[in-house]
Amino acid sequence: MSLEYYLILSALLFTIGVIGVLIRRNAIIIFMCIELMLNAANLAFVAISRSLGEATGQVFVFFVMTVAAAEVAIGLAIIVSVFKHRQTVNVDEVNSLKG
Amino acid sequence: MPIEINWQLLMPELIIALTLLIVLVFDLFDSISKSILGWMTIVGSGIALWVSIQMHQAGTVGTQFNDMFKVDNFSLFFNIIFLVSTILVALISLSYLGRDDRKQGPYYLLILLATLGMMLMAAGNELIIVFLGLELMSLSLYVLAGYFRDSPASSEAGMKYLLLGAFASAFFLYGIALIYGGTGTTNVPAIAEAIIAPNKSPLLLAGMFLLIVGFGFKVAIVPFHQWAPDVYEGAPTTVAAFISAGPKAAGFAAFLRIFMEALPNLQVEWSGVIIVLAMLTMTVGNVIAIAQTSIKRMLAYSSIAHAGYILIGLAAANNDGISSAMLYLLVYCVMNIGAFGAVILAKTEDGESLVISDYAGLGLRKPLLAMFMTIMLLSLAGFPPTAGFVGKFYIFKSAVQAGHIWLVIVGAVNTAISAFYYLRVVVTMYMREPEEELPFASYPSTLVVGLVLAAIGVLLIGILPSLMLAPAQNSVF
Repeated sequence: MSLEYYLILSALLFTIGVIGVLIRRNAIIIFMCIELMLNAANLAFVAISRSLGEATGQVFVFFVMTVAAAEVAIGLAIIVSVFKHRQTVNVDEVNSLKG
Repeated sequence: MPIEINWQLLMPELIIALTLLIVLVFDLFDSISKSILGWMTIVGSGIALWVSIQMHQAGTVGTQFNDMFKVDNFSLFFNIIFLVSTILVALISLSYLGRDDRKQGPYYLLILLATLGMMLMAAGNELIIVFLGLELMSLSLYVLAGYFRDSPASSEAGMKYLLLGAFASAFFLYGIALIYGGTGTTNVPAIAEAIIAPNKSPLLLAGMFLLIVGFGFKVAIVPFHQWAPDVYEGAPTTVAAFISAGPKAAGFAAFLRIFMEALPNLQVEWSGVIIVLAMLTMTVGNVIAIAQTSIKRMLAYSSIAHAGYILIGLAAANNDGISSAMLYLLVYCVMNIGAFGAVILAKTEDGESLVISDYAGLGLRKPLLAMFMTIMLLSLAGFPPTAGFVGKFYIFKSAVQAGHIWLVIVGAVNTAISAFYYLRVVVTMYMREPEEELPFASYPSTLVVGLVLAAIGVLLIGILPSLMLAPAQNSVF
């Protein structure tokens, strides 16, 4: 299959992720949508790397997966600490800072 | 094939890495006083700063790790900015964290990790290094923003910063993927070679705009700035000072390096966007800052406006533009940390003074504090003989040389607008009577030392601009 199909799929996944971040209100779901965006980028990297016949993109993906894992660990810890204060992770209700 | 490593090129980074490992180990011992960790941070960063200055003066240039990591005067000058910020923030943090030992160890560890990430961003000659540096910096900052777990505001700031920061990182990463698709490489000089004038694939252009969005979030450019006021207000004040200084400089370091060195052949496409963003950022930041009653939110919007001034240097896209943006970033970091330090110094026994009306009458009751605050605010507003004036002058000059007269006019009008809200705080301090006289907490000596250093820096660069201008002009790629 040609590269375009993979890039279109990756763009679709990325767009779904962006829309999810913008319309969903649960912090955990927003976080999952961000992971979807990262994986859309990973898919693009792997597809491009395969079609070029060189390995940079695939190595990049390994680093991105590691970073994503670290991000999840830190993100969930922060979301838990917010939940302890407010008993909710709805981003519309966590709004004491504004002006 | 053995890989030859030139350890001397990596010295500043290695010193910071070693310092953070020492801090990590010493945090395990319960028997020692944890404030020593803060001093270790200051000493380690100080040595790294001294080494960076030596390397900068010697004009060290070289690449490491298969052309992935590039040490040149550009990265060394940014190292100086980051390390100065780290030392100042560590100084103002020593008393702020209080006597609670549990709080101190991870705090300095995270500050050092973030500093290491920034240094990687400035030295990244390959997009993967820039991305990893960005993430190392951002992940440390998310934790720092939510560092006071007992405070709902701090946790909330951490969550907002995390969600928007991770969102921005994803845009940045997708931009890298598309640029990789358009050019077949992620090496900065190789990207520039691969972009030949007629060959502008849509992938490449889309990737470039995604990079602008990603950087826009990280350095708080309008319309990607919404996180900044909330995070600055909720985060511990020392952390707000840190987030407003070093990470913004690091974001601009990578921004300048990628756009000027990897994408110069797309300048026709990006310069218009950057000009519009610069105008928007300055205007929106300054106009909204006028309406703020909280001093931390006011400083947040002012730091957004300053990102707009720095963008003028990128829009000018000539050597003077880059060097004046670098000089401005150095000046901005010192004066902004100084302003946040003065906010910490204004602490009363009831807690921090965060509303501008709390500052009424400080001119007579606390002359030292009022003096520091006035110097920093005048510098932020760009009055001579402070460093802020020098920074603005050279930024505007470079834009005039590049022919962006309208950009300079908008910038000058904005400087006038910004003088209004900075001077309002000064007027409140010297000319208003306080409603009630709260007893002040005593002055912590380390905080005063940090503020004195910042004030000396601001006045010295203001009076002798060539002191830092010449090194900045030497540092263009």
